[in-house]
Amino acid sequence: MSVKGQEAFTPWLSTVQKTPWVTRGVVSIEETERLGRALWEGMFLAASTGCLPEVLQKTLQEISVMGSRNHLTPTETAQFVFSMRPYVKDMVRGQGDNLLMTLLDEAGVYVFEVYLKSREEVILNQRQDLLELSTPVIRLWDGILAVPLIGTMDSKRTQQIMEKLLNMIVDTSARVTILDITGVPTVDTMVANHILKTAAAVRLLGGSLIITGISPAIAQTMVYMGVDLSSVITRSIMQDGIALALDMLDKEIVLKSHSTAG
Amino acid sequence: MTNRVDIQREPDVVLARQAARRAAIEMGYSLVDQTRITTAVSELARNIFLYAGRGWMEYRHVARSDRKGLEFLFQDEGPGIADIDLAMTVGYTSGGGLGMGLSGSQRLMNEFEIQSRLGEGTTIRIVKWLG
Amino acid sequence: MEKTSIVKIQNVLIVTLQGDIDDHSAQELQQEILQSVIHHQVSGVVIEVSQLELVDSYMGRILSDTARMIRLMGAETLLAGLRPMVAITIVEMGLSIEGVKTALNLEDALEVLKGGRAAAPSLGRDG
Repeated sequence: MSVKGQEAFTPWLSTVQKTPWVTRGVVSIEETERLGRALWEGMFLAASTGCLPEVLQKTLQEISVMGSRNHLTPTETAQFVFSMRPYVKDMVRGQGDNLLMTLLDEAGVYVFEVYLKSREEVILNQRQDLLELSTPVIRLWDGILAVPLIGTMDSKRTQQIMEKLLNMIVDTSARVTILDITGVPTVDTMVANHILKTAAAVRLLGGSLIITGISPAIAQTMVYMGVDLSSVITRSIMQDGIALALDMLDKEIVLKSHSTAG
Repeated sequence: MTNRVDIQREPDVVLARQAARRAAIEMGYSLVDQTRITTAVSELARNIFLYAGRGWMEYRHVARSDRKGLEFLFQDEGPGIADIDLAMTVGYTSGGGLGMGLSGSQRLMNEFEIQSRLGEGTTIRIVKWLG
Repeated sequence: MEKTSIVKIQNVLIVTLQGDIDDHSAQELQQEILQSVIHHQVSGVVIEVSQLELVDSYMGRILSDTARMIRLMGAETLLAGLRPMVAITIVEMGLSIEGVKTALNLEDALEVLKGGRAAAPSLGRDG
């Protein structure tokens, strides 16, 4: 099966086969030919319309996504397109070289853009996964939940935590929740507000919230900034929080020797 | 698709929020978002009944780039709002409520737009994006 | 109103709210609860809201007003079983349901009223 401008197409294809696309096994020889053909024909169409047609954009998207998934750099990925440069002048006779070069540049830039966008999506998804991973709701004891917060609190994350926590409170009939903020790097007015919101929602359900992990630095910041956390029960370390939670449920930890002696 | 609910009597407020919940369920909103949408609609539909006496709610699917959402339009030909900033203030009320209707529904939605002319009426547009 | 029930058990009034309650019915319900508090001479009222799908500013106002009126009449009110989604919406709107104590569920509420344990601290300024 031949394409238009076959005499330029074949040598170009063998150039592509020397790029990381083939040398690193991202695509097979057959796959290269399929993509190359689609790209080549797309460029023909582009040359006649003066812009990148939709069918060509699809091919370019496919190339970008393939490149980024297979850990090619943006430059290596775009090489598939830019390697055409020496050959396109033989591609369409009588066409102004300038137009073809411009279109080729546009196609290359398009590959870059899609590549970056797909990278961003990957990062966003990973961040989402990380967010969910980093906020477990732990059943500490009968009636007691613990949430060790790690990382920054923003409003989206607060919403997620609140939703997960409140559902757990209802499902397990937990009366006390300990929210430990030892792993939150900075506690500013905004974070404090998110904590207050969570506390208010827990209270609406009939539960109590204890905040632990208030370091001297956090305590100082809160007071200097005039943040009022007085409506929330706070403790410096989680151990104290657990003791308080047990006390609220009329439970206490007793040494074995005491209980047997008693 | 545009649907309309007329608001003339108090039970129409309930009809408006039930229609909103149905639309939200159909579009696949999460339970929290369903509740947010329904609550905001309840506030704004009640405002029509309380302050203008009569009006209507229209709602439709909207799309922007790769997002889909639900848009609600609340319209009345009532007295209008003299000072929108004041009306949006938390705790301000001219009707004996908690003064949370406008500001509260704004917080529950992604977009909130209000236009009002004295003696001509009020239009409020709210949007919640999916996901 | 037909969906709402008021039952007296020992010295506690249990009010179960259900479904979608319009403003007028909510007003009537407030009347009915207050009448029942007098009529049955109860010392506590549990408003069970686990079937309530929505609390907007009006419903929030009714709940908090009713609790304060009941307190003036010498009884205690507990709001029990609020749905997580409804709680989130209330907090996000910035509503504060003042003067109402809360409990996880009906059982929890009855335990609190019997003096078995302390309720979650009441919400807002007058708590």
